[in-house]
Amino acid sequence: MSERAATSAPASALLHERVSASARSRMSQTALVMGAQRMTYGELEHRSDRLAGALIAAGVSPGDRVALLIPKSPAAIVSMLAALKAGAIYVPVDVANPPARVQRILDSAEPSVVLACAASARLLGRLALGCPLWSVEGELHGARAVADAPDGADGDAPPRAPIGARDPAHMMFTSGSTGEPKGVLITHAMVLAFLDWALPHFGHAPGERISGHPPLHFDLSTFDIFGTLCSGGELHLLPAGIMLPGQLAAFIRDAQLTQWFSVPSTFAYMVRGEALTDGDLPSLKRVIWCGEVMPPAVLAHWMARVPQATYTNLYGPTETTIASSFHTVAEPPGDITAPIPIGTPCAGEQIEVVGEDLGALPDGEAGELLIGGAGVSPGYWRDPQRTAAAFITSPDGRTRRYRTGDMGVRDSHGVLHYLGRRDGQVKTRGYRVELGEIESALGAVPGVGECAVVAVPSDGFEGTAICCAWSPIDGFELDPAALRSALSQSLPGYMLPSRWMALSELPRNSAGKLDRNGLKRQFSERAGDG
Amino acid sequence: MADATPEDVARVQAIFQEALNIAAPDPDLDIIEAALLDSLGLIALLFEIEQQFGIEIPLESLEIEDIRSVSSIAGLLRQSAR
Repeated sequence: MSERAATSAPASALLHERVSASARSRMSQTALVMGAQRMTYGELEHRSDRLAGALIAAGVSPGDRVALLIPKSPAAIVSMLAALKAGAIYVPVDVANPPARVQRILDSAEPSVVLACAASARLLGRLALGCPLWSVEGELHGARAVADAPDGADGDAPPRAPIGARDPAHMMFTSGSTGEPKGVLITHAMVLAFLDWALPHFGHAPGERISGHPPLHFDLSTFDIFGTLCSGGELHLLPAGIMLPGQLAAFIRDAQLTQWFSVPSTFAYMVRGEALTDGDLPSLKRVIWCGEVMPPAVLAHWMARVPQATYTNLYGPTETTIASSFHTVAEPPGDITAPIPIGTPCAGEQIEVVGEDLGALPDGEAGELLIGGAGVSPGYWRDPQRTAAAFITSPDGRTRRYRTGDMGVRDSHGVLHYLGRRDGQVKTRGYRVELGEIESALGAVPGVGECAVVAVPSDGFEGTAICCAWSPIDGFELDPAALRSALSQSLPGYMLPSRWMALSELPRNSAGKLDRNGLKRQFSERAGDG
Repeated sequence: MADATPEDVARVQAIFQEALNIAAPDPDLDIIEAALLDSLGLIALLFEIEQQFGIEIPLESLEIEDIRSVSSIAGLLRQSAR
């Protein structure tokens, strides 16, 4: 795809201009809080204008990429806004990633400038940058310090780059099935379409205190950041070091947050850590989660202890921007074995349940979920092949839909239910994994006779454990550690099985086929014993 | 706290590298100070340790010192129910 789409929409439909419009009426009010650090809307505007001016002066042009090697913080949010004001696409990078992975992302994104801070010094020492490095906070060897650049005279016109709503605002790198990172392009219009539904729906208003938990390289972060700033609220970022279950609860309690938005594993972690008491977190009005399946028992625990809040499940992959459907849970789940629905599409989005031929299925029949509408990404960065495989254009070329790889069913009330990943795929820790790819890598290890890889629901923090059963060939000494090590040569870490079982032969059903369900049962029973 | 065995230390380092995509830290590096992990990273790490070691970590009594370094996390394994 082209790096910059044609610009036709009015300029006011840009994310950073929405933030500026919100800021102008409350310049002295607090926009960002992190620990002892506070930043007003005025300061946020001023600092991001100044940094945008510096980027433009350095030659950053519309459609250029600006990489952010900065953990979520006020400085990171200034940097995001500055990149957008310069007309660039911001590319957030997880600074805790191994240097090799960060290098691959930078080689692919080809940024014009890398914005970093003292926290990324260790990482930067092991990267080869093909562009200037600027430090937005703290001293950094080899970097131009831009945090303390002299102020422009007051009244300087803020920088304005000639871009439109259909131009990309950011690019999020997710892992592909081969482990090679792929960049999902997200436009200004896509994020604003979600906010245009979400802000009135959830009742965001000036003065709200909203959590900013998901990191910048998760697209969920764009909801808490832009949702809060566009509606005049205060965004409360988790200071580094807030890690324990009780600390997370104290963070919500002490800041008197009105909205808590996170992933279900955080909710489960707080429940297991016994972080909530009866009548706890009285300031919370809204509790929202996305990204994983919420265990009903965890939700019931929260709803019992924090009864006044409204609880909403959001569903949707990065490729269709933040979320595409929602379900507000009216009452605490009575049956903790009944999964929580993913609900109905957000305004402007369409979700279809289709069969293998991609034809629509009637209500009640399970199929793959296809998402169309305002949130659908233009595709993967410089990857027309994977874009064409995942995004389906209608024969008349007018609509595009994303193949989620998720299975679901629509019930007679029009409510969607999630049924897991398509056959042979699982989602673990947010990564999509093809079980067949693990099996073929295993089959190539000397000493492995038969093998099968199955996914089993686990009762840990998160959904799924990858389990491997294999039969050793006589004469080979193989244990799980040796197999794991052999597999790690060819597979990324998140694809490595976590449970192992050596069998003299693998179970077969009456038709002589490999009995995968039998294997799943064996793994589940074993886990129950431990 | 029980002393961690070298094997447990190596496995916890491997989990950082393989499961979290985080370059394996030195056993005694202060990972909180170095901001190697945020809360979501810690949750994913503890989840993976429970899976791989078949244990349940007592989260209700977890303290910052228990998670300050790879060594202390590996020491935690000895105190957890198998």
